[in-house]
Amino acid sequence: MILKRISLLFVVATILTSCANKKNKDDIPVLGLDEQGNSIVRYMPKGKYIKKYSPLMNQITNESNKVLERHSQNKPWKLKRVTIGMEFVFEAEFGPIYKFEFVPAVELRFQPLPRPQIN
Amino acid sequence: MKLIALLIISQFALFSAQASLPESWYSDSEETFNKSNDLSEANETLDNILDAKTEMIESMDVREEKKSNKQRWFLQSIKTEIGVENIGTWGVVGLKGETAVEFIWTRTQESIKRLQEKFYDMTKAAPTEDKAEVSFEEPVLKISEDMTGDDLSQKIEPLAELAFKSGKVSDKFKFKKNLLKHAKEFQKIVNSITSASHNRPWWVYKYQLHLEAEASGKVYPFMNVGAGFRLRLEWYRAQRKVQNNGVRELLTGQGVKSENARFIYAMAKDFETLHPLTLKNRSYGLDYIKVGVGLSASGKIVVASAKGMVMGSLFFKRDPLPVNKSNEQEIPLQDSFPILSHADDKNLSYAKEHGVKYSYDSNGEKSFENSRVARALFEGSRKSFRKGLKKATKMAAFWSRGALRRLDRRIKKGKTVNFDLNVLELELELYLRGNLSMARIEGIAAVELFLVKRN
Repeated sequence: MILKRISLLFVVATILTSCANKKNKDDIPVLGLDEQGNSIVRYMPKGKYIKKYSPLMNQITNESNKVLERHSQNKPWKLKRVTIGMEFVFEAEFGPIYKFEFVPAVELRFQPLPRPQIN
Repeated sequence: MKLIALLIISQFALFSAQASLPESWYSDSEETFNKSNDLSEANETLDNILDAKTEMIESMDVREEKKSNKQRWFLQSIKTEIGVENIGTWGVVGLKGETAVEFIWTRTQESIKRLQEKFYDMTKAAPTEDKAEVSFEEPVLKISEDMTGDDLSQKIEPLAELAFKSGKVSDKFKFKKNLLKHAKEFQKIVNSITSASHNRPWWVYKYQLHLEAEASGKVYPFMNVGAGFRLRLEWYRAQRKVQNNGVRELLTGQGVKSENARFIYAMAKDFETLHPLTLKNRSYGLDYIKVGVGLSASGKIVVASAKGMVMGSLFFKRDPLPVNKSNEQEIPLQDSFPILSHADDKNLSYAKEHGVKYSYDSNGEKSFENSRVARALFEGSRKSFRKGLKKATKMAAFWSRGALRRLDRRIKKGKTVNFDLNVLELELELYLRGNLSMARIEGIAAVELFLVKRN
């Protein structure tokens, strides 16, 4: 009986793990390093990746532009460019025993928008 | 019994098809490319990644605001990275780990114009156009070979002020003294590089050294750790003039004199074996190469292949114009070239297994962590290096074809293109026997190929 329960738990854990580790046709693979420095890979469907990421990135870039526009107006120093590196940590939990992280990163560069020339 | 069967079946679920690249691309294999390798799944994964990235990027920085005369800002470029594991699985990478490929999207000129029309009152345009500059983060000390000690001191002064004001350096005097010492050593190396004036298609146009300063004012070569004040020493070489017949001016009276000059000459000759990589009408040209270098105990520039050994970078550029047929004598090259790395058990076993000769190399310079690391110069095979470069051309073709494929798809669907995938950087790991592969997530990139979109 105990053996059956342990086997069932193992099967469930394996299936849950395989959902994160199995690649489907439309998946985006994301790599990272765990605490021990070993590389790990996770998959997320393309549609879900776009749906999760796009509104977030749009809001971040809009807010960054607003902050920069306020700064360059008020200060005497000329701010020429700003680079922001970001890492997003998405975490999914499956019950009390299993969770996984999805950690893509991106680097954004902002500059003053040049004023058009008089012709 | 049924449960055991279920157990076994579930294990197979773990080993379903994973996105993988040809083994020779991420391992110490001299095989260039096996035509039996099926890249269809890798192409599919690349298409998914680029589709998702493009969708995300094109939806960024979308604002509905009124026109005004205030200075606006905009998202100029986005960089994302791909990593490769030891077993060949690959994908979008986070901030930890070495990258194998970097994709840089930059906003198109048409898109910048649309933003200007959207946000600025066009009747009140500025009398001169501010050009959008693209430059990079760290403070830079630009050094030329003819600068005197006084010139260097003058240049260092504003940097010392900046370092002090940042709060990261408290002893300004010590910082200036140490930085001047590094600047003079840098200049010596630059002088040996400039003597490498040969008339070959690939030439060194930039040498860069990353430094980091502590609060005490001590300055070290930057070894990818620490939160001190970072800066860069840089030297640029001006492009030679173009003659009336459309070919590059010939350099005369120069030659390959010093050891460092020979190193550069040899590397330039190796890069000539690279295919220029022009695909269809719109192409990514293989135009720039960056090589991570260190300094041997005797002050020679050598290729560095391990963390903590890379102190600076040499940048090579391909001359797009024909080079005048030179009367210079071809200089014979050695079959091997030195690679600086750790003299640890793993490397010494590798050297023994592959018949790679080596010699210990100790220098007095302490690393940033204030420890002395056992080092050796391993004799990498030039033949293996050139095979690795040939392999790299195949890899570069794979990544750039994917980028062109996605762009074509977007244009065919009539979608607006605000950002163009302008630069692909392919990062390569160097093995001690001279072979190259894609840099794996736990490795280090020693050579980087820059593929730049031509039209």
